[in-house]
Amino acid sequence: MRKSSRRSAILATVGWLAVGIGAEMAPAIAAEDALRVGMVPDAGATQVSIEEKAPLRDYLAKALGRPVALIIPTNYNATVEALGNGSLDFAYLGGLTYVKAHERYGVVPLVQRDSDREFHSLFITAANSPVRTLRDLKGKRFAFGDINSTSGHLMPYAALAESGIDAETDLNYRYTGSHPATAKAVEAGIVDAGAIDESVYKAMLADHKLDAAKLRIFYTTPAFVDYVWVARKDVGQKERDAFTAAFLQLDKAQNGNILAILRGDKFVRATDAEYGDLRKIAQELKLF
Amino acid sequence: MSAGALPGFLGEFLPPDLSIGYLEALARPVMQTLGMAAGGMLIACAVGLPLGLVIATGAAGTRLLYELLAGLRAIPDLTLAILCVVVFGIGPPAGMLALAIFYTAMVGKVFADLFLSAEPGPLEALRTTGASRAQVALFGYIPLKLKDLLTHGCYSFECAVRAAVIVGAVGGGGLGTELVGTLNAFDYHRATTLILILVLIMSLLDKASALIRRAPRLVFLLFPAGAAGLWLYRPDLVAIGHALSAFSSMLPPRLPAAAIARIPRLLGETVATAAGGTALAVVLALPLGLAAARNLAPSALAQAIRLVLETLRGVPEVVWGLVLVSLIGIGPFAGLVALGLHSAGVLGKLYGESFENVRLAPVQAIEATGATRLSVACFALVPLASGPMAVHTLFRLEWNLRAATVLGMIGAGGIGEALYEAQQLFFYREMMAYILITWAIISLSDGLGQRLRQRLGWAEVPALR
Amino acid sequence: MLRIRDLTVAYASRPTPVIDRLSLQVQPGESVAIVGPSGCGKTTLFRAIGGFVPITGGRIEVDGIEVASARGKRLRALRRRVAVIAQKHDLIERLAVHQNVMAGALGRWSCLRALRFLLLPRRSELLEVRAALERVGIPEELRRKTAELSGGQQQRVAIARALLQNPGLLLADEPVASLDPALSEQILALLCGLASAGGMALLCALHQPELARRYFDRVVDLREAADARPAAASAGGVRLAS
Repeated sequence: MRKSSRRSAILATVGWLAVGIGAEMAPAIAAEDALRVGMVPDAGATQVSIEEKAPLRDYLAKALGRPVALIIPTNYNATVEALGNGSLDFAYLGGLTYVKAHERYGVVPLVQRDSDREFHSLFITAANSPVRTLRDLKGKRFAFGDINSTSGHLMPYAALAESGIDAETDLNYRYTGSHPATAKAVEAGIVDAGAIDESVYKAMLADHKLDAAKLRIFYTTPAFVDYVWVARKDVGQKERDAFTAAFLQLDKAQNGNILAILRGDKFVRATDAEYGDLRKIAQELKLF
Repeated sequence: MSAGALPGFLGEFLPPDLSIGYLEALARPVMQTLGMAAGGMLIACAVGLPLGLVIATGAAGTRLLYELLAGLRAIPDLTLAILCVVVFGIGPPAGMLALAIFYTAMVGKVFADLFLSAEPGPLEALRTTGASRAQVALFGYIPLKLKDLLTHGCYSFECAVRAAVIVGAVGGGGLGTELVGTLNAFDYHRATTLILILVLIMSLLDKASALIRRAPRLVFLLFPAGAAGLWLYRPDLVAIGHALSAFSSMLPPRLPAAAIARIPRLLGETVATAAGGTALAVVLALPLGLAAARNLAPSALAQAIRLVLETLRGVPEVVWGLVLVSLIGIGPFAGLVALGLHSAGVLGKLYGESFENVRLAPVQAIEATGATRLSVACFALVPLASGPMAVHTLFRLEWNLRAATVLGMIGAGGIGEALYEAQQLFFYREMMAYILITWAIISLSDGLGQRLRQRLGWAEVPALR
Repeated sequence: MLRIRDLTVAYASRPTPVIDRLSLQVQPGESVAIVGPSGCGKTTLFRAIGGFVPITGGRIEVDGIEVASARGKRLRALRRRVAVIAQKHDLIERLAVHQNVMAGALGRWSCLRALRFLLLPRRSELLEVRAALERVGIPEELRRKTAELSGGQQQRVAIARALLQNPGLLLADEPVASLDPALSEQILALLCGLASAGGMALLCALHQPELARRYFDRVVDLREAADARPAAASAGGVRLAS
């Protein structure tokens, strides 16, 4: 009895691994000419949950006339290097990472959400906290998101500097690695305040992943440009145009599910010139 | 730190997500992890075995080669993985290469040490037949040391699978990447599933390596697995061109003045994490070890505690670190607790064994006084077992220093975090400088530890993780 | 076959040379026993002939080739002509009997062939091994694990390995030291018989002089040779007689 149950356990394991081998070989054989599209890492997504983004993948594959593989790198650095070494063809980058990727590997900006042109970072704190202004943060524990994030690090850092707070000396700060982690850290009281991407914050509230009653926004940064879809330097003009067109054609009535995945309403063309200010700030703060 | 937030979080971990759909989706990351480990180990053995033989047979320049391997081994696998991810891009190829490099050094050095300890008589007898170096290796070194080779090979493979999970955490693909993703999304039920799978894989590997030691031929089964891993995760040729230019952009290493001024504080943080983690582990491991000693605790309790220890030990420090960083936030404290939990599993087992191995006579003398179990433990067992326990603890401290730098890279503070931040910001020459510093510290601590053990006349302690 | 002139071997750690100006010749088919107390340099002499210890002075020639100057391929070719049977037989216990015996052929084999033999031995090769085992009287042990054999059987396997080398010179260093008297006589008879029948030169270290005199053509006492040296030095070498 015991022996047979052990045998069936072994068989189950072997079968399970066989599924894995199959899953691993199939794309390796089929995906030779697939276009590889990198998503933003801080969505906290995994290869497994990438299936939730299947509508986007199918839409792009149809529009581009080629199979598409969605890939979610673990961090921004990996995304940028992947654009450099050719393991991604298109990718979604934050403003700061775009500036770096453009500088290092000459990536080409294609499209962005209309909201990305007028993006804001939020400074949040606990609802009952005494912190009311940026200057109140002096000596407090503070959370930035990913070190490479525009809305989670660069722009809040600049806003703090603007109001006379030097993060290096006046704050006890740390990087949480992602916007949701920043929100959680503030909610749990691990830090006194944090800076977060406004679209992520709103989405988390809408999904009830955060308790709105526990948190309070006490500062909103001036508008800046942020996320952008880019193509690797060597991707052909034809593919770039097709990719751009696919995003520009997205329409709320017809492609609501895809726009929901992309957390936007409407896409517009993006240019390198928009990023001049951001580049200057990054240089001033020695993050570039 | 807000330790008060812990219990609420812990509730979110159970029950694990065991839905068929999720398990099916996990087959692929599991394969990636195993494939990376198998492919990396195949390279490591294919290169490391000849290197070990070359060193043992004493060809010209072998001393240098040996030092090179020992030096390479002092670069933590996660550091190599970060380098490989930068150089070869995200995904299993980078992870596999990092494992291949680290374990080539490991296997090469360990095998060389094994071969050097082979009896000289039979080897000279072979040389007298006019056999070449390679033939002496085939007929002499390898059969003479086959058992040890297999034991260490299996042990390295187990470590490689754990390491394959860990390199995934920085972008190497497989279970590690999956775990980072689920933790970032605060999906703790799935994180629990992943950890359970990891523990399961480790215990299966344990059984498999016991089997291989009994029937060495089974080792050949690993070749097709390794070959499949190699083929699936071979890096693109384009990537190799990129790799060379990326690597050259990292040289020479350089640190700005402000960063140099921060180094003492960063090193202090790393050392404190290691020391604190070890201290926490000792505090946890003492009662656990006593409860796990079969000659002391009721057997049902010992059995249960052993299971707990195995779980604590089966989850690598980095995985504990990832979970804790997600739970209690980035910082050295998360690293300290991570080291403490994993090391408590290791030390608890070793302490338990130390208690079981003490001579019985003095213990029985105390028992004869009618003392309770606890006073027997305090007055007889702990003092009698203190020698081996001290050895294990010091060895752990040394190990934890290395682990603390690695934990930094996933957000647990210290020099490792500085390394990770430099890499993230594309300041690669700074990153190289931190890698060199890390390497120097670890080499130094390895050397000191070895000298100390020699001075005290302690035999080499098996490097149980 | 073997010609040694004025051989001196000294170690830096010892004040006096282990071997001091020894001269010795052994012809094909001749069996010579070297006797003397332990520490008188028997093992060192054997290792020097195999090229395993550097010599301080004098000259060793095997088949007219000087050992000290041989390197690499030439040294390997030379070693192939000289088979050695050590005191502790020095077999690889993990390997099977046929693998241990076939190790004697390594000198004439390529590395690939050696690997192939370990994994898939050919019938013809096994027959060759069997023939060697027949000459030492244990043909039935072909496929046994070496570790399972008795001490006497293991020594016979070591001799079979030496035979497979097809040597011109057989060096045996205390081949019967760990065996009981009856077995010792069998092995010595076997060795001397093989030498005279096969035209091999046999040089054998022993510590029982009476046993040596019974089986060997000549007996050389290393200590006597050393004592005789001062007188003979002016004559340009010791004349060693049976």
